[in-house]
Amino acid sequence: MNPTSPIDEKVLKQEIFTALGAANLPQEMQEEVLAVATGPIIQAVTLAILMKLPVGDVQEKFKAAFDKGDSETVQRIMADNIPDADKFITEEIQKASAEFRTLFESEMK
Amino acid sequence: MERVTFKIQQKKERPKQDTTQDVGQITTEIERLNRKLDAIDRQTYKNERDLARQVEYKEEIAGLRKQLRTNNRGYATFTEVPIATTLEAVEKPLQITDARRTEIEADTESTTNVSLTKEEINALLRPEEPIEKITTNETITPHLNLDQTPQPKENETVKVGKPFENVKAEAITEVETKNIEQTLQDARSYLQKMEERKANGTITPQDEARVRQLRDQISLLRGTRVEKIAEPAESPIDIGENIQQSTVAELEKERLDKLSAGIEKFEADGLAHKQGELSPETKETMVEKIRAAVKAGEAAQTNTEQATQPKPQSMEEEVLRRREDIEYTSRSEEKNALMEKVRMAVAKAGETMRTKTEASASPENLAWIKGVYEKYNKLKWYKKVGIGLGLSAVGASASLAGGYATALGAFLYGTAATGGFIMRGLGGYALLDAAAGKKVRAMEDEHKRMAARGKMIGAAAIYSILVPQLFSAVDEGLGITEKLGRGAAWIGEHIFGKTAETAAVTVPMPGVAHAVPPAAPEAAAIGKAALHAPTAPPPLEDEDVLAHPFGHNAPPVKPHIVHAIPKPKAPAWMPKYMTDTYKNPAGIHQPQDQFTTHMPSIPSTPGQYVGPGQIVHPGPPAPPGQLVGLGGGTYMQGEQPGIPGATGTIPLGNGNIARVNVNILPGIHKFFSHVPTPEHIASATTGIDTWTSTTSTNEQPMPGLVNRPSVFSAAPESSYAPGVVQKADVPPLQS
Repeated sequence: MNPTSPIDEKVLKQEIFTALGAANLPQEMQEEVLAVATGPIIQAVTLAILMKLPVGDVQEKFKAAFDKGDSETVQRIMADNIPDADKFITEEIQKASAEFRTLFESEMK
Repeated sequence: MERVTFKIQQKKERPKQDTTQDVGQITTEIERLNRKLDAIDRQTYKNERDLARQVEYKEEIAGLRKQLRTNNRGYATFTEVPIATTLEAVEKPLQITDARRTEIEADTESTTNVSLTKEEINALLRPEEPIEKITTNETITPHLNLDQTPQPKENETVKVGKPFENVKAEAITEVETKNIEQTLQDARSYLQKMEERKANGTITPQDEARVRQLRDQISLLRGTRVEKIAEPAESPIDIGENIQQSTVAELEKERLDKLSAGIEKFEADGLAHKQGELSPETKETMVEKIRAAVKAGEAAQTNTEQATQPKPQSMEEEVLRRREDIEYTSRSEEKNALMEKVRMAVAKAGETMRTKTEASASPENLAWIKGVYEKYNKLKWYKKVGIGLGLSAVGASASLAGGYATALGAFLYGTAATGGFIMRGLGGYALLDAAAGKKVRAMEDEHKRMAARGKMIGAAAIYSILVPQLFSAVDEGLGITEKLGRGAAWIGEHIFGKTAETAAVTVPMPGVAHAVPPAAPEAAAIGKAALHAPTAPPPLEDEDVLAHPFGHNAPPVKPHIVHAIPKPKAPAWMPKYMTDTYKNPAGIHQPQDQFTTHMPSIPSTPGQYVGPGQIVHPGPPAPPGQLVGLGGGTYMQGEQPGIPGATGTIPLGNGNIARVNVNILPGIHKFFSHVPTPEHIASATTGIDTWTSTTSTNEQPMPGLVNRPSVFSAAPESSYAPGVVQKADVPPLQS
């Protein structure tokens, strides 16, 4: 049985767009918001990860792996150098999303 | 063999066109859509949606115009008389009021002494803004001076739209006649330019509107409108459509009634003036009222002009006809305004956030972190959405109940029968190269195991897959893949989502282990490539990599052959080298008699819509010469799960069925005015991926008929916007 029922998607999407301050917009606008918001969020999260890594070789390796699309290396570097990397990244994503939401909502006023 | 339930999207029956529909309403709708187009034109930033909307509006306008033509064709056969009558009627009160003019002159200290011509009357009565400025070398002799503004001087720019405005009343001179001729000539030149643009396909709705106005001007200067109703009714279609004349006559009557009302008022005012009751205000408003009446009458006439425009080519007609099968929704003005506001706000917020992030980066990291954003920014819209959904889901899942977290792996990565949220959104595995695909699947397996143990998927893993991996894993075929995805999404939205009703059909399909839900509009919206791929494609080994039309670095595609059904003979048009043996790019020889379809079949009715992942057997073969197409009204099959696109079958008219692997691009429809040959299809490369001669064991693109990436990359982006219709430039079929 498919563990992901349609309602799950709905709830999750609602959660996602709420986090971005776009919950009450029509779907197409939500997507517009998401597409634009993701860039700065990725940038902010990536910089947070990078700054968490030791300066020097590790950072350079991370950059190189990132540029190459070597996800395993990226993941390993994060796991090796960031305590509880999952939690850290989750929080960074949430933080960046919240920041975007604040900016977006202020622009919409 | 397992049985899988599909939902076949059944085309909603269109209501029969109401030929008595109010032409005025249609005209109003056309104007409204034109305003929307103008609004989009004015936007500095146009995203893909805007381009799509532009196309949609244009096609909607074309459809409405076609409706007008359908309603009103045949008008040309008798339009001239009422117009002449109208002019006479308009002229009459002015002639009557010569005496009154003298009185007006006395009242206003004007020097007017009017002997009005038809042209002058029209010029006086027409309030339009000038549509084109044309500089003449000679002065237009003034005829009438109602507002006492300065007269034009020699070499002055004269507005064509008001050739007789602000001029004194004198007899028409030879110089003026020359000026009129010059104006006509300039107008004709402009029209010719527009015709060229039209021929080049670069004409805009604004251009068309201006052309119509200019034609009016020419007619005005000629004192007649005969020219623009010149299309003779020759064809049987026209003869048939002349039946619609009664409708046109009603319109004409309405127009004349309105004119008469204005004229009567004018005369009444004139009488009042004679009796000393005409105030200066009334005097000023008299003309305005007449103008309004004439304008109202002309609105009806404008509609009839549609009937006199050159008939579209038969292929265009067909495209329009097909297009009418798709229901469009128009965004309201308010919604547009909100959209614009959201766009601006989100852009500003993003920019502010980006600036802040970059400001916090150390100098040695600054360039790199900027590059991260630029890399993202180069991705196409739906991919951004896909990645954004994945990342945001990571953040959101922390605040969701645990049950959701356990499902997140399947949800994100496609292990579920419905297909993964992200993978589906990104167009499936076709987007990834072999190595990346393996990695994703490995991650996916791990996530599945974790989810089975009730553990939440690691955010780090998700990040590492979504961001760097997908940033770099996309190959050069991405542009194509994206378009395919968008096309699939467009189908999902426009056909499945809005115009279809569903009916469950049970289809035997080997290798599919799960019941597949119908194509959800939601799925299309999620990632713009949402097709309910029943399962992920089988894992590919390196040796499985086949030549692929996407290009050298394209993702490998393993044919997902279902099974064979009786093979029809190769069609007569198929060259011997194709029917006997051909050597495909991979060096595999195909045996002679294998021009077959091998689809499991279910009955379908012509015009039935089916979607990728659904398999149908085409209805009765189309007779030779019948318009068959790919898109609305014909048959499509999505054969390879995860690969957006479809395989279409084309009845060849001789009992055979040709099959093409069609990647439906957004809104692009290929229509053939006859049974297409492979060469024809190849010539219409956009939207058609491969012409496939299939066997039960292999499936290869035909030599020389492989879709060329350059075709896609060379084409303007807007070509792929929803609603774009591209004609297949093919010669008529030789019977």
